[in-house]
Amino acid sequence: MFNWIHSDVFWSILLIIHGLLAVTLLGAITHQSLALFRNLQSAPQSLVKRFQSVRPEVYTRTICILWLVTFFMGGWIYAQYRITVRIPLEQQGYWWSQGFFEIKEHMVSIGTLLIPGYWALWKNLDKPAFDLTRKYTTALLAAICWFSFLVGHVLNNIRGFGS
Amino acid sequence: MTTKNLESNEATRQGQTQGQALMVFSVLAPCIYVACNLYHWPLFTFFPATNHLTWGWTPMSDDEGPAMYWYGWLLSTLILGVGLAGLAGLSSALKNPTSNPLLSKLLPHVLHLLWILPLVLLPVIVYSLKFYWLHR
Repeated sequence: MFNWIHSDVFWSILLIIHGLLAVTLLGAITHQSLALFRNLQSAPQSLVKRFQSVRPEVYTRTICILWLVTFFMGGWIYAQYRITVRIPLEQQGYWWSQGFFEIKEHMVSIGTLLIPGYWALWKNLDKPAFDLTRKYTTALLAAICWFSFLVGHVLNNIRGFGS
Repeated sequence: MTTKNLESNEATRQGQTQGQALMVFSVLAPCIYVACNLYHWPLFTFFPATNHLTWGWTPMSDDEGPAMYWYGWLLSTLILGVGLAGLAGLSSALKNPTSNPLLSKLLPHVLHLLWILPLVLLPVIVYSLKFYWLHR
């Protein structure tokens, strides 16, 4: 394949797809978690209230699929990142950036391991005892998603594929 | 009770068991993952420069280039997590928690570990990366 397309271009395309999937996931999970924290007593008037006034359960399957696909794309790119991005970052002394990437790696992995439980919680909507757990687990996944997106974005600004 | 009702009840019961096993997996797996990371328990080590795999934890070498343990940690976690959650799913108490009043009362509280444990594990992860924060 690399006879037709330069290696850096190929990995950059994959990284852009990974980023676009992450943006889609970010939108879905932010929508769902904000909808969980809405005040049901007031009618939606402001932009934020309208943003929150969705049925959060409709996002669950999409979020699970997007999370897993984005995770596997990231895992595919990671091996190339280890050689072509991380080594120069270390040589240039970006230790804190690398440290934050490591936190992202671990938090995303933990988020992925939470997905089965998250799915099961949303499948048990009829059990009010799970409401708080569902709310905070969804918010935690949203926070992990935002943190990972921002770290990935900043790191790509410092040194992307083909820099 | 008709055969259709019995089948429906059985399907609901199996669905509940599956859901509870998934929740147990999600409570246990982050702890297993962090333990795999801290105690060097990757199932395999991957060397991306040479596309070479070795079993268990292998240090980086000049011939092979940088070593990656992340894939190995994930596979170790998946195997241990699925195994333990499967065992929990098979236990009679979790199969029918409503039969045990104490368990049915405790289960919703125990499930809070789903979001509390990752928050507790975060400082552990940050501390385990002290090499990056202290490097000059």
